[in-house]
Amino acid sequence: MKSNTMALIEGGSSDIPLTVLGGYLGAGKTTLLNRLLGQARGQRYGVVVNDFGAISIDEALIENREGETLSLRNGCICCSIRSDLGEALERLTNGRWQLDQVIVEASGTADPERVAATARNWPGYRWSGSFVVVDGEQGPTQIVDKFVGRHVAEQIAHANVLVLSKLDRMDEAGARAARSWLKKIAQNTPILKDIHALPEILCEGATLSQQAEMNEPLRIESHAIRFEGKLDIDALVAALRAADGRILRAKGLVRNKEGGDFVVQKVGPQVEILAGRPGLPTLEYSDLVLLAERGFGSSAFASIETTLRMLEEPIELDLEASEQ
Amino acid sequence: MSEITVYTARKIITMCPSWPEATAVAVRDGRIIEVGSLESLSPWLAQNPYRIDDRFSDRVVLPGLIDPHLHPAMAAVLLPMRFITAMEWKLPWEHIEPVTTHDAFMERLLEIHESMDDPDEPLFTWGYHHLWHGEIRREQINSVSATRPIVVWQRSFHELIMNDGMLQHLALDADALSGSPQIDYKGGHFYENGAFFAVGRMAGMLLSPERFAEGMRRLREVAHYGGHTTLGDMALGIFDFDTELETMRRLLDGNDTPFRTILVPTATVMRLRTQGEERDAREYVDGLVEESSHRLRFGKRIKLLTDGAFFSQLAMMAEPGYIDGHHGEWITIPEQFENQAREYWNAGYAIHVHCTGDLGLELALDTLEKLQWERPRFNHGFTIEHFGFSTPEQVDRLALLGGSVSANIYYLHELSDVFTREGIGTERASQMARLASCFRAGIRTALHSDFTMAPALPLNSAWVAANRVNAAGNIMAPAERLSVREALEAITINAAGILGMQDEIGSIRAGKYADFSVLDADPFEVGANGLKDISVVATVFEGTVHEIQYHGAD
Repeated sequence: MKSNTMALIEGGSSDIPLTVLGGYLGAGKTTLLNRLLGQARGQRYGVVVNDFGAISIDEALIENREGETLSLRNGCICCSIRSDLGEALERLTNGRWQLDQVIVEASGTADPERVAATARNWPGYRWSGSFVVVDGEQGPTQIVDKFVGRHVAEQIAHANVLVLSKLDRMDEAGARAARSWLKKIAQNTPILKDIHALPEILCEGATLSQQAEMNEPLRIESHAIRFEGKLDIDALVAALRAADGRILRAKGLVRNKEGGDFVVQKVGPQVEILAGRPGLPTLEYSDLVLLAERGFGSSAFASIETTLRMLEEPIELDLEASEQ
Repeated sequence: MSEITVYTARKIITMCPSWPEATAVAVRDGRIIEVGSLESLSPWLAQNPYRIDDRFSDRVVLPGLIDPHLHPAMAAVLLPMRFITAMEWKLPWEHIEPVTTHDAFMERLLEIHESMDDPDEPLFTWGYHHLWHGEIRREQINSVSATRPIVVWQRSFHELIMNDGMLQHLALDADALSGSPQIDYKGGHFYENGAFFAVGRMAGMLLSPERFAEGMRRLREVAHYGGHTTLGDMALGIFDFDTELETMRRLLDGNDTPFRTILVPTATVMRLRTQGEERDAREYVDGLVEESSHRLRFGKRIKLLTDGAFFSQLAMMAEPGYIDGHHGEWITIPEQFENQAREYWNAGYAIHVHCTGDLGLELALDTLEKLQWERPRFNHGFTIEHFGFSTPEQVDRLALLGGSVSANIYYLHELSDVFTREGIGTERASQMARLASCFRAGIRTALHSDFTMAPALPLNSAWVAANRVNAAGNIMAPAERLSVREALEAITINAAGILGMQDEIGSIRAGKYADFSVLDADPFEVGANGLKDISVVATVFEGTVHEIQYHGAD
């Protein structure tokens, strides 16, 4: 299972997956990033922050500092934007870092969509969604604030996945109220209930296999499926859309019935089809990895697999076709 | 004691209300010792050596003009470019006529190319706009030259077009640029994020020490040409604090520089520099005063920013907002803004706040009111910079809280017509920069250029403020027009007050620096309509005359 997952990660493209992490001031973005950098375990993250001030990196972990770039002993890179995001993105595509994932921290009032507009088109990167942290305690007040209410509302509306923070500081009734408040305004955007699961989701499953090896408790469950026959890509997209809210992330290398190989990605409600895998050999199988929060995935995994199996092109037909 | 120099003039407009006009001014050691007439000066002249300088005897003398908000570093990047633009630009080395058609643009580009000796020297032009110049892409620029690296930069800076020469020079090929929808490789067209990408690749060229220094020399000429004797650099460190300061020390601090510059750092940049809390940054800024020289001065002044830019419609607007429903952006998150403001307020600083939209202004006012409640201050110099959109009630509140206004009135000229249709509607667009209201409320009100956002020509800014005529020729909110006297106050004595220098400059009276701008016409005689056509023929900086040479078509 592990090699299958890794093949997915490596097989997509040489471009670095890029995620924007948004959320209003104080929501908990920095806490998450500190956690991510401190516990990277072989995954090489590039983190772009507004300034180093807030990031508390253990001095022992810092290997080198060159101006606006910190390199850590665990292979992660942290760099500050100062004024120009593009310049920071350019620095991180520098081949010597060999990063697995880049996370851009959006400033507290930034619309993740606007940051994404810059970041997702940047040469050398591949868009993998925006995550927005919402303060469970302050959120309901912030969203009606005279100066920032519209920004907070917009951040929530433009997120691919929402993360509700600070529930651990609230009593059960308060936490429940916060959840139902966010659910009401978030409409169909999935809400991650356990903030600690975020790092695992961010890295598209690679950490999953590594953490599994270390016998650490997982907060995410994944399901990898291999299809011998060609798939109906439209059905796959429809099934992934239908599973929205339960499947947080999906990625597939797909041999399409109608011909051609595709990379299919789902981040939050968005399902994206990337055409082809230029320069790489044609696929012999279709591989799909589905990610959900622990305890929320199994029924969705089953229904997607069943749907696709029903529409899978019989292998015999494929063989006949190739004999002609 | 040095010799006295007496300058005589057809008319000296002192901008001192109780002693408004004179015909002679006596200067010693860079300071004014008396302004009046040759007759009234006679007690000084009877007891001291003197000479009379009558070269301005048929001219009109104003106090040295002051622009309290521009950006030398931005100017230094832009000014080495060749301007080909649909608007008229008066620069000291050339008077640029508008170029308003495609053919004229291409012809001008060819002329510039052919005038350059070194065939490999890169050529940057600025001012292209498709509304006038039609579509210009790689192919068209190649027809001028495919080998010299050429960039055609759009007026807004958000897009640019390169020829083969520049693409090769930057080693950009189609493979490197695949996947970016905002780069059209075939057309050599880079826009929005594509343009940011291209700027990154060209940073080495644009900010090279020689080019930056050349740009700073040009800024020196531009400032002199506009008649300035004092500038405010209202965001030192906009690109790079050390490079800017070092370049200014080298080029704007010698006796050949006919003006002084007040250096105001930005709180956010200072925090990044010190990598600490607001307090650490403020303590660092405290220490900068020691770095002052005679012409380059730090003070207890700091620049803060609330909301986004005018041009890109990112000003934060209160309800009902923009017509198309988009909204602006905070440059500083409101909580952070308040923390910054409190740190500098409590340390006794004058705080200059970049505000464009009325919601941005509301944040500045709410913060000022809170700080006044916590720790009342008088004569605090809290200044709204740019002052785009506002309500009459906000003007009253600003007056009650003791704030000042430093406005970029040129936005009214250039943008109000577009904003009526594609922004916020006629009612609010007409009342951008409601400056007559500010004067009526007793608010200290000045004008600035924010150069390169507007021409660095104070008399041109005064002309806009006194006429409120926009680019389409419409008069916008005539009740907000300034009188000629108010418009002149806004570029002299009030501008001095914005920089906290009202006791030293901004009017012509005994004891102040001998800073003058010498005009070829009397603003009161030509009236509001004629202000922009007045030429500054010389400036006097601390008693020394600096004639203005005309290189342009005249």
